[in-house]
Amino acid sequence: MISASEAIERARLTPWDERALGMKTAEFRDLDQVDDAELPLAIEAIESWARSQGVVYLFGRVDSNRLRAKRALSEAEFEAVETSLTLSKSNLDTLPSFPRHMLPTFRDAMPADLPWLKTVAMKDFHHGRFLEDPLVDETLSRQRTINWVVDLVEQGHLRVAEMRGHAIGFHAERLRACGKIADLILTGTESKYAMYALPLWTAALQSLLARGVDHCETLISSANVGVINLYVRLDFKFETSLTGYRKIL
Amino acid sequence: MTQTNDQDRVRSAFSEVLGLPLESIADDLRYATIPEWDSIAHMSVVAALEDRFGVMIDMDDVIDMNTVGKAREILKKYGCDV
Repeated sequence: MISASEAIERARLTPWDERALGMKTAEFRDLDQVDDAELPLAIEAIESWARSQGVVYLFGRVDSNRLRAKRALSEAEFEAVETSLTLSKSNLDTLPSFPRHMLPTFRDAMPADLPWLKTVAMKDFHHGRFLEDPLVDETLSRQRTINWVVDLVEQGHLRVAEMRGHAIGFHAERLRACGKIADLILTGTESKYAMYALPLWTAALQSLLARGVDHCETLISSANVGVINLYVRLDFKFETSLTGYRKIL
Repeated sequence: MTQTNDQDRVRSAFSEVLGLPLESIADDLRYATIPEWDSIAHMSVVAALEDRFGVMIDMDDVIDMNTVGKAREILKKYGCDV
């Protein structure tokens, strides 16, 4: 458990969201680790800190089973706007089997890929906390996804998946310092290649295994039923359900 | 008789991969109209057809394969006796 003051310390401004949404944004974290009795105080303190920073859009996730945290947020006039699932997989050697020619290969994304990547990000990604928030303009939410993809390219985390010379999708991951654990950041196909989603994910996980990674984790929107089915097929373990709350200050 | 057997091979591939009874697999069965034949199962169907008919199906044909009948038509293009 953490104190209310620690909860404030864990809140952060999110300039990468502000860049797309055009208003100051912030995120609270670990609120579900605050003792029940301190929850109202912690929320009030986080909101006060956010106001002092000029934040307009304050967002955060709590475990969907922490009813007291959810009640406290509702009483503070936060609205539930999305739900997510955290998943993990340790047995990376147990993956669906495909003939080699059905598996895409990966290469580092290059600046020349950006126009196509931006188009895919804009057209073919339909889930995420902003895309699912009815109060956020869809154009801005899509711009946020585009910015995210561009940032991942610039940070060297994103690779393009190719099949027989055609770019069909992309995959971004981040390896933790130990080199054994990977966070899957963003993976997807262009919509016309959606049928290649399972081979693409499979190839991405095979690639991690080949580099000595033995565990990976990710977070997905629970509104994205298609990708949930994909992770079921890949034998991921569902860890936690999270509810995202937002307040316009 | 050969045609009947080969048609059964197409239908039986769909039946086995999708986990549906053979009699429910008709030529007009369409991709994404039943939960069993989604984008995740599709590549397994393609892999099963490639394996049974000994062919390698091009990407464009994989994407075009939106009915059982279309799968048969595509396999014919590859010289399969269906």
